[in-house]
Amino acid sequence: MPIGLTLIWLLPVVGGVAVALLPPHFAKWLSVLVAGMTLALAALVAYAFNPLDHGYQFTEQVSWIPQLHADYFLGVDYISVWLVVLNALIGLIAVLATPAGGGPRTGRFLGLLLLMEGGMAGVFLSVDLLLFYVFWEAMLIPAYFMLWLWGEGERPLFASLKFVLYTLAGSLLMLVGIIGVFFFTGARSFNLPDIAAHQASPDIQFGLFFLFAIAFVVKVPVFPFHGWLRDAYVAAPTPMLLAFSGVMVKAGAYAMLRILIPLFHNPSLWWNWNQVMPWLAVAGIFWGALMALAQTDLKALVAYSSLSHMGFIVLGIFSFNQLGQQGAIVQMVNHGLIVPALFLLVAWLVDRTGTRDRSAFFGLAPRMPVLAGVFLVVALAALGLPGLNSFVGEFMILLGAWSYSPVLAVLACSGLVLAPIYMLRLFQGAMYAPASGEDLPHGHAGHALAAPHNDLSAAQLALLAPLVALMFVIGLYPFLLTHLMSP
Amino acid sequence: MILAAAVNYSWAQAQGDLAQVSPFLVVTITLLVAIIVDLLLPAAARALAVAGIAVAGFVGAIAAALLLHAAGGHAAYSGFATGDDFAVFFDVFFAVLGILTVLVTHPYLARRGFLAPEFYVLLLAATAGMMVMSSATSLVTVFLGLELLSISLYVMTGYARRDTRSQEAGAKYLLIGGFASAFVLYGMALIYGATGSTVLSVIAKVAGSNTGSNLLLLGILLMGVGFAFKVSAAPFQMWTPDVYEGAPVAVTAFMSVGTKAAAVAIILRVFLQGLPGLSTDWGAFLAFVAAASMVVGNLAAIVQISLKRLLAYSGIAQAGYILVGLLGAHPAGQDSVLFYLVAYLFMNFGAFAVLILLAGPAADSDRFEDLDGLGRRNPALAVVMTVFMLSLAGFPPTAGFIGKFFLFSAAVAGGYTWLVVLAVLMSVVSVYYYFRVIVHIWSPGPVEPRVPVGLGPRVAIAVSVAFVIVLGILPSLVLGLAHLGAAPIALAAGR
Repeated sequence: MPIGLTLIWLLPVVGGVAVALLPPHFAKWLSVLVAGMTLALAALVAYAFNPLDHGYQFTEQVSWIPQLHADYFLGVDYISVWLVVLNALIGLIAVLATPAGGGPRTGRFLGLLLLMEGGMAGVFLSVDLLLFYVFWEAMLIPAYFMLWLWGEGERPLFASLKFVLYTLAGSLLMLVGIIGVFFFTGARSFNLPDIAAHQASPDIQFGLFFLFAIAFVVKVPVFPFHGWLRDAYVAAPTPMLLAFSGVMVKAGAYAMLRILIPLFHNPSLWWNWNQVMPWLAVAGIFWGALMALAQTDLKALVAYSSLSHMGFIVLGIFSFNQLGQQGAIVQMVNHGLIVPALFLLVAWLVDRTGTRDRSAFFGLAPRMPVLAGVFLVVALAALGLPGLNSFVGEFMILLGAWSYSPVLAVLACSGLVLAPIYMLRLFQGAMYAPASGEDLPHGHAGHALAAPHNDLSAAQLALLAPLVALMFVIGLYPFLLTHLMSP
Repeated sequence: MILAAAVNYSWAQAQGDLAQVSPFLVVTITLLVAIIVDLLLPAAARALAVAGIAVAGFVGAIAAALLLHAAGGHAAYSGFATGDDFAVFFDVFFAVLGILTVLVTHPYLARRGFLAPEFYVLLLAATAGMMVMSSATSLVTVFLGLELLSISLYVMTGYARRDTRSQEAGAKYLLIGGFASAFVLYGMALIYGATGSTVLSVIAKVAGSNTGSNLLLLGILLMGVGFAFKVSAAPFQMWTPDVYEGAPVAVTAFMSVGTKAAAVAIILRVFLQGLPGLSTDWGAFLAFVAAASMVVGNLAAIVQISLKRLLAYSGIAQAGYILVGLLGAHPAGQDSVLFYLVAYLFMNFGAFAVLILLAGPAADSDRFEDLDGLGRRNPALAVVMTVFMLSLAGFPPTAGFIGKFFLFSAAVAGGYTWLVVLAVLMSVVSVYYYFRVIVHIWSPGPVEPRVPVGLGPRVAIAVSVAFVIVLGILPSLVLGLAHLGAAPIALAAGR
């Protein structure tokens, strides 16, 4: 039996435990090694992936709890393969972005980071619903500890507990849903293909859809279940935030595509859930963009922009056609590249100026031309400029949404208009001096001046290079992703 | 009739019957040996020697139970007791609990200054009582075991002689426990009146599915109330926090797992084996008790400032989860209950073991603040305690998660979906207070003094944490054993 997929999640988990236990001296190098090996393995899987085969590939199946017909069942298909690679890539970047030194504390942080990466890989690899749930919950524990013990701001404990309770309220209901799928669909199995073959009646689907969807909409998050988002993102330490915003929230969208769509075609009793979701998605696109406009805190701004972009992904998933759903997958990868890049840039800006307040700094471009240039590329990618990656995904999603409901597509489009406003306003405000005649913000001039010549270092640029390069590659050659999905 | 049977009771028969209760017999003989050794040895060596004898006795009981299983246990004493796999399962369970208790208790007793061999004698007596309960197949033997267990526990609760809170807890437990016993006894009397027998198999035949008998229903209700007292389920849980708080923490650790498991064993035995036809009646009662326990236990735990009281309320909530599974389908429900008890043994006892280690010479460490800085002082202990809390909260990949999953899936299969939804929502509440413990463990606090961890506690905690994790990842083996153990009950209930 091949064990490639097992290694993709087991390697970071074992490595994470080792990193936390071994002397802190080795921590950084060992975790880079582990994350690098995981990435190599994931890339190998993607390389060997057969685009013509639409089932699960590289499957590993062993009986796990025979009494309940639960299997240890791993596999990748065209939905998960890119997310597995993305997870490994962001995992490596997050490890590299963790400052070395700091003694045992750093070692423990790196260990938790790797544990979280392993948990997320497990979520994307599981084909068995119970196994999926185990990984889904397990990845929460390292996230909680990192948010709390390494969190920024005044009340990381509050933010982490809020995040955990929000997420758990959803995911424990999913546990009931998983039990319900086992008994009420007649599948008597946790195996996803088996369950998909047993379609329950619409009223049962209605109940089960609700139980599952609650977990996923909290995780993504979909408007109006985003209460944890701002606090958690603002509190999250940067390396963890990369994996958190870049990959973990994708797990929610991935689960919608993996579980809700194939298992519950027609969840209707009093109403049809399938018709509710796209409207929530569009509401999220709007709400996220409007809230991003109103933020002065840089991290919060990016957090709300992320809410808006995740709305597009959910819209694509619930447009119920291939184009929209392919767009959603492409966009999951895109967003997973853009948001970590944005958060990294924000973190470096904050390092250099000592504040997260948007209005406090300006005129940085002449002093930090490289940072400004990279920031521009990432900002343009985020707002969906053609030629960069996000455009491809959003365009596909909007096409898909149009054929589902033109009204929704139009509404989502106008949400797209807001993205350039907050993104470019952020970029211009931070990088260039106010136009002549405008008053300098009083008392803030010191921040910009306090940062004379510390542009991005080569190491920092190297950290961003793969992300930016992939933004161009996917933007110019989207076939790289989509050829795996075309029938 | 019984007299006539006694007259014709041959030696061969006696041997056969004794063999069926051999684990109980081993523990009882050990108890007697311990008392004699206690008298013979010089004072300095007594406690350690008796502790060793107790462990040897528990190991012997496990061996006897396994032999019994290999030989195939069956009914004995004219249907008053049995050596079936259900009894064997619980005998091993209680013996393991006894061993773990001795391992962590010895240094604790020495530190607190009440190291005395009596403690182990009482422990043996309580365990013997629990073993009687698990192998009882008649209301009389059930009561016999219940009282043997309870009386030993009353004394153990008041064991800290100079501590008024321990004394208060002992007195309170005695009074309320006596009250509960009276309920049980009255219920049993009514059932005897309605069916003309105390032997469960006879009751099952006579009662059948005769739901019309008010006498029988009242008996079930009274007995149910008494059992709910023992399992510390709401609304009969009032004694639990006070007794848990007052008793020396080592006694609390033993009691929290032991009484719960023993009470669950007799609920399974009496209700499922003795009254299977009336499952809708006692099912409604147990469903109410389960729902009340989960709500009361979880909500009350939020506001506690004492760790022991927190674990007491958590125990009440856990009793609720167990009852949810108990109502589940046959045989998955019974399997899941037995599995969960094993998980509960290791995670709950493990958590208490850490508290036992933290106890100071003057008093138990009972406040959240006592945990502050544990992550610095004893990182290993802190990690382990975190694992136990995560398991109690039901996080994968721990035994607590998979155990809850089995309980809940059995209950859904049994048609109690509403109860499962309630259980799940209450589990979210529980995460809040279990995480409060974790928060204090990893909060900054005094770096000194490191808590010394002796060999015994080290072994007990290592075993517990290993089981908590291994059971969470590979549950099928123990689930298979639970299935084996629950088979006699499920068979009788399904008939």
